[in-house]
Amino acid sequence: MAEGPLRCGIIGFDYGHQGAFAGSLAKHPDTRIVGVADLPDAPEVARRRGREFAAGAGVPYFDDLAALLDAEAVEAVSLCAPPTRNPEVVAELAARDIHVMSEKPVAQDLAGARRIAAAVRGAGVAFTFGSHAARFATPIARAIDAVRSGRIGDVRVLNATFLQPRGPRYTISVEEAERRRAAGEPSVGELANFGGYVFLAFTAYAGARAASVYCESDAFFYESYRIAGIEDLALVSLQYEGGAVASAVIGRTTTKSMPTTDVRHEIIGSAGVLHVNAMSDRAFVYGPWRDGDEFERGGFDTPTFGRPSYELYVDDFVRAIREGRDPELTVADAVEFHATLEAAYESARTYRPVDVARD
Amino acid sequence: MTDRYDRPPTRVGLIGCGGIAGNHLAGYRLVEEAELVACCDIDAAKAEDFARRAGIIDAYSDYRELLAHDDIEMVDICANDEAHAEIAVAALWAGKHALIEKPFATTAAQGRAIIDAAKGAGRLAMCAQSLRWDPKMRAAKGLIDAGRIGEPVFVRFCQPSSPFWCREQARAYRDRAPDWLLVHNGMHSFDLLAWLLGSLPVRVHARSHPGQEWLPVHEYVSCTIRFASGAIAQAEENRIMQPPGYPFHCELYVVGSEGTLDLSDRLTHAASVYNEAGVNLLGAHTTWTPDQPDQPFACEIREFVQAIREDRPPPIPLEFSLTILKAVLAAAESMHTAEAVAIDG
Repeated sequence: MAEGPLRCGIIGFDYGHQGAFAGSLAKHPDTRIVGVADLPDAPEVARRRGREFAAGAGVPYFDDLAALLDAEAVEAVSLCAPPTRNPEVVAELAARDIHVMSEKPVAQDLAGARRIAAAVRGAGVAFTFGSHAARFATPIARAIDAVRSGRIGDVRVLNATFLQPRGPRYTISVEEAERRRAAGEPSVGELANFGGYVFLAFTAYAGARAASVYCESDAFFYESYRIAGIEDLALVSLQYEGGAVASAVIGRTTTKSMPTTDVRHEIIGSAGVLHVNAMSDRAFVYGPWRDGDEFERGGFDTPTFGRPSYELYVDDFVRAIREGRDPELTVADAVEFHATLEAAYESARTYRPVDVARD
Repeated sequence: MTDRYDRPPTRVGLIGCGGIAGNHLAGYRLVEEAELVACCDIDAAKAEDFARRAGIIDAYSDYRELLAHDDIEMVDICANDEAHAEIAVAALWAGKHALIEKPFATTAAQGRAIIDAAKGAGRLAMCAQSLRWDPKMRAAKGLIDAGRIGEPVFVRFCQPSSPFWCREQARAYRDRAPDWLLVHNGMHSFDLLAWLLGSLPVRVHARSHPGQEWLPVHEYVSCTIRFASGAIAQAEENRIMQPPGYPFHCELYVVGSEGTLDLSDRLTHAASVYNEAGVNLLGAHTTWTPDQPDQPFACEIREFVQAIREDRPPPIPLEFSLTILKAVLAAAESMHTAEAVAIDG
């Protein structure tokens, strides 16, 4: 490994979260951004964001990922590309011994997640992914610590709400949904988008894997989601190995006046109950909405009392590389999430509980 | 005492003097149209104690003796769940109107038999669903029906509590089935959801946790329900909270196409409405008063008695309650088989 700060590349601005991840890497004391790149077929809106970030960071922008990798000695990347593309991109990066921090969902399906796992394990590189709130949001992290330390005894029941107001995602406009349908390109539903925030916290609370999933879901709110054939809301019931049972409502609503995402966890144990309102450690700041895409919106802000979860997540990734250990969220977690997700989708189609696949 | 029609109160005999009968007694004290005149319990001492508290003379240990009194117009059945159907059918054929605690029957066949008896005898019968008269729930229903959150698409309802059975009651509960809590309380949850949504359940899946190992009854059941309207819901039967003393309360969370109704604040008992107009959360609260817990029972009794006195259908048709019972029993089947179950409407 090269001496000095970790040399990081920023790949893809398809998703708004890249701003937070790249920004956190840029100000991390042990990293240095060396370049920004997109995939060759990235949309212009992503390229524009990439160029703007590169200009702000004073680093070169490349139209093609391969050009960045050829030009710079990149040690790690933050990757925010479409999940359909991630398996091939991660394989290419892993083959070059580059550590990867990927936006969620890491793949379009379980097979894709498994291809990623095979690539990073084969290369021995670090891999983590963007379901950061499941482990790094301060109230949830503290709840996990409390549960793991036995404060409420054995975990029996888990309940969660993860509902984000305002939508649709800017990547699922009616026009984009129609284009994708015509092109046969899959879209990502909100269970795939947000489910990791819940399922990966559940796994940590229960100290066990999901064994069976039942799911009812629909496109309740958005025409574009109906066109794309994806859900905007899902109610998921899970059975965990060891006996704990869980329920979660996950999705994106149209409620425009909710101050921010509603994130609540209830962990019921044999000796106590723990309630988490993960948004209650934030101050709500309201302001006028600005025109423009969601990436640039500033209608409200939710500053946290403490470091934001995405900063802690980025820091964990960097430290894991430096310390030669696994990050908190591993590629095994990514595979586990996609196995659970795939069972949920099959259940929603068949109206039957579905066992979670095991390797 | 006479009512607004200048008629004497409807004379009521209460059967089954334990548990919820105390709430009914408190309710009768607020209902001038009804008069509790007799009671019955298979435990004679319990019947006599209830009679003392109610200020009535006639206490029986055999419900048939109570039914033999021609001057009793209505029975209020608060006996054990398993006895509801037998008593209700006998009471209806004896010419009494019947208010029956939930679950009004424990099988669909029993439920149908009660409906047939009510029709055959020309008497009214209704399953008691006090939650519909809970001020919080009425406020929620009013907000939903007024369109404040648009079309409701998701509801979560639960009433978490610590176990109210203790080791000393083990004998009473040891022969209960694992699904007893679900069948006993599920009619409350399922009826409330169907009422709020204005739609009947069509499919249900249930998961449970046994809770305390010494008790065969599962202390926690979570049901995932699909309604005919397309809405989905989670209904939770919860007596699993430990340590003992966890405060019993209702939580209701409704997501609509245009807003969200959040009645889950256990500290302020406030309902918050988030919608297009409700940018300022503090300006959108509907409060309720929790200091009259028996009032829902009084309202429930009064409306049933008024239906009797005005010769009109009861506020909750028993056919509707039979569909709700079938949904609860489908959930119980799901709990045993682990499969989702379509509900026979």
